[in-house]
Amino acid sequence: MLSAILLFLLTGVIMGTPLLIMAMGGVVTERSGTLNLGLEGTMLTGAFFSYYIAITTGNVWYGLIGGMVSGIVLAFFHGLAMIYWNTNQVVTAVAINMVALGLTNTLMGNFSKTTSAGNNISPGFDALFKINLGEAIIGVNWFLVLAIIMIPLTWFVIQKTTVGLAIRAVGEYPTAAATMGIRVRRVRMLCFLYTGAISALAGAALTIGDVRVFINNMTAGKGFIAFACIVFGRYTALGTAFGAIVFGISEAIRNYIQIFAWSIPGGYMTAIMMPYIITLLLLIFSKKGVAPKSWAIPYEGDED
Amino acid sequence: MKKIISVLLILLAGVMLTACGGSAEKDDTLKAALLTGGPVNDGGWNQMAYEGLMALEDIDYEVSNTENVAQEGQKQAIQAYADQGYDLIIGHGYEWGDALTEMGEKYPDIKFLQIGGNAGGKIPNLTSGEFKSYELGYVMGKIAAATTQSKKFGFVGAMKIPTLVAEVTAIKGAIKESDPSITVAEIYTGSWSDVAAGKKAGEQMINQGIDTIIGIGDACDAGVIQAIDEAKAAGKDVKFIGWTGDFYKAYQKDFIITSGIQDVQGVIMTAAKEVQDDKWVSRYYLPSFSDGLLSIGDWSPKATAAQKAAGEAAVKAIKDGKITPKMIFGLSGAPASEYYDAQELIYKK
Repeated sequence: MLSAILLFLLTGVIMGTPLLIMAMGGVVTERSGTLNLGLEGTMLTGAFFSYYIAITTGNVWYGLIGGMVSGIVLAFFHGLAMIYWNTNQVVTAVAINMVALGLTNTLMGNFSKTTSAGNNISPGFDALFKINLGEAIIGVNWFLVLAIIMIPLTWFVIQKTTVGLAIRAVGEYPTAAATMGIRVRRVRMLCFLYTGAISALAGAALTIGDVRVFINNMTAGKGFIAFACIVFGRYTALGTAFGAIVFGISEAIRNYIQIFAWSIPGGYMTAIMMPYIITLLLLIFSKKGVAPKSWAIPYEGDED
Repeated sequence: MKKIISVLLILLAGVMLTACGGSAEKDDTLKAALLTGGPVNDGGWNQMAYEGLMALEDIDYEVSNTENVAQEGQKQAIQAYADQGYDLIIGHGYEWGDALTEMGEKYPDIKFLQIGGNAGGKIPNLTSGEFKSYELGYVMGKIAAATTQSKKFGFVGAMKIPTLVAEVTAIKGAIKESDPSITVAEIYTGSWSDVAAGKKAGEQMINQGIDTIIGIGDACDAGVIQAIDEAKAAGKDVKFIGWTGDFYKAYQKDFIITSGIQDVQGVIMTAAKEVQDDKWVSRYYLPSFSDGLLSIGDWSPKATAAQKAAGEAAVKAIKDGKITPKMIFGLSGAPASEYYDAQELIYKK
């Protein structure tokens, strides 16, 4: 029984790995006062380029680095428009997500003309170690280790370091921060690029870290769920991590309900919607008014 | 000014991406278009149609396709091709029935083909080819029953739609007929594109001792195969049976016992030749084992004689008319509600 519960929790955490990595990256941008709804797009871009570069070069590390660079490039244009040119943050993100979807679809369409199912499998990261739980064998790869390390690290950097203080300052009172000599736009932009790199890394965790193929739109809304986790987590690293893990576990529940044919109200539909029902509940019960004071408000101050 | 530039840049990027559709040229070349609800590189259902479309280039068709069309965008997608003067427009899947019928009435000169549905034959320019997938399910179920050692079988699907239910019910029926002690677990991931969800479903099944899995649902297959590959590295013997495409041929992995083939390309080619030779007949027909459009794919070298015998005996029984849909669905012993949709679909004609 104990091993069954452990298996269940472990499966949940592993399922939540890409989400956890992305949410840990995303929370930094939100704390710096920028609304980043483009997580989905950067994740998808990172997923594609890490896969594409890994399969064409045969080296997973090139794939990983290339994927992260692609995320930074996309985030650069996104950040340039929002932070330096003060465009509408929601509309810009929608555009970025559409560009990412179109771009990866088109590139993958061209690429898959040269391959076929079976020989389109990229190299990937093998499991670091395996855990045996009764009949079950669970492989743990280093993306999970990285995700776990990122939780205290992100918390520490945001709460306990001068860098974190600067990030929080531009998110709360950018004008005050500017008078203290902090270059508001630059800090926000750097946070944004960091998030771009990390969410692309989360995309790489999906492809070269997990399934080793790329399918159009394979992120299937994970970027938006990561955002929901951040809001639920009250824009803190620990709360966000909790949200991401709960979501991962709810995905595991979805499968367990079906494997064991548990009878629940609504049957199959409830099982399928379980992760989304739990996300909704999280959002409903998350506290209002905890966002950084200048969150989603462009900085209109002097040039820096 | 900067704002305007940024908006223009994004618009430009969007236009560059969507402009690939190209414009119509007026000439005598026949033109065919394929519309799919999912991505055409899914390695399964949609990819087969895409390959079928590409094969039309060999018989001098000009081809184009649009993928990831959402339900609410179907009519616009069809209209776009109709306005460009396409001669044959293919909607790939059960969900295209209503949109094709409506646009078929609007454009009587254009021929429409639906694959995997039953809307055809009611108007003069719409044909539907719906695979007798319950026959395929029966055969694959017999092979699965001959494959499992642990007496635990798993099925991973994307969404619980009528065609899928019909297939699964037939698979379950055949398994239970062979050996009632085999348990059947099902997981639907809820997404046609989420490969990671398919892989996790496969892993969870393997961790419950399931040793034979059929995956139906485009992107799910790739995920399940990856899960089995990793389980194999950890010393577990799990088998996969493919659906729609020839998975052994594609992946060359020993654990893929065989596949149930639906010859989508054959259905597309038949319709395209009818248009070309001006012999179009509007109808609703059921490609089956008897006409060769359903078949068993390549066998893995690890496939046993028992597995091959089970498959071939099932095909023979179907060809000899000894197995009927009613029998197949009566076999499972599942509650009526579970295969109600499937039966309704099959008996609707």
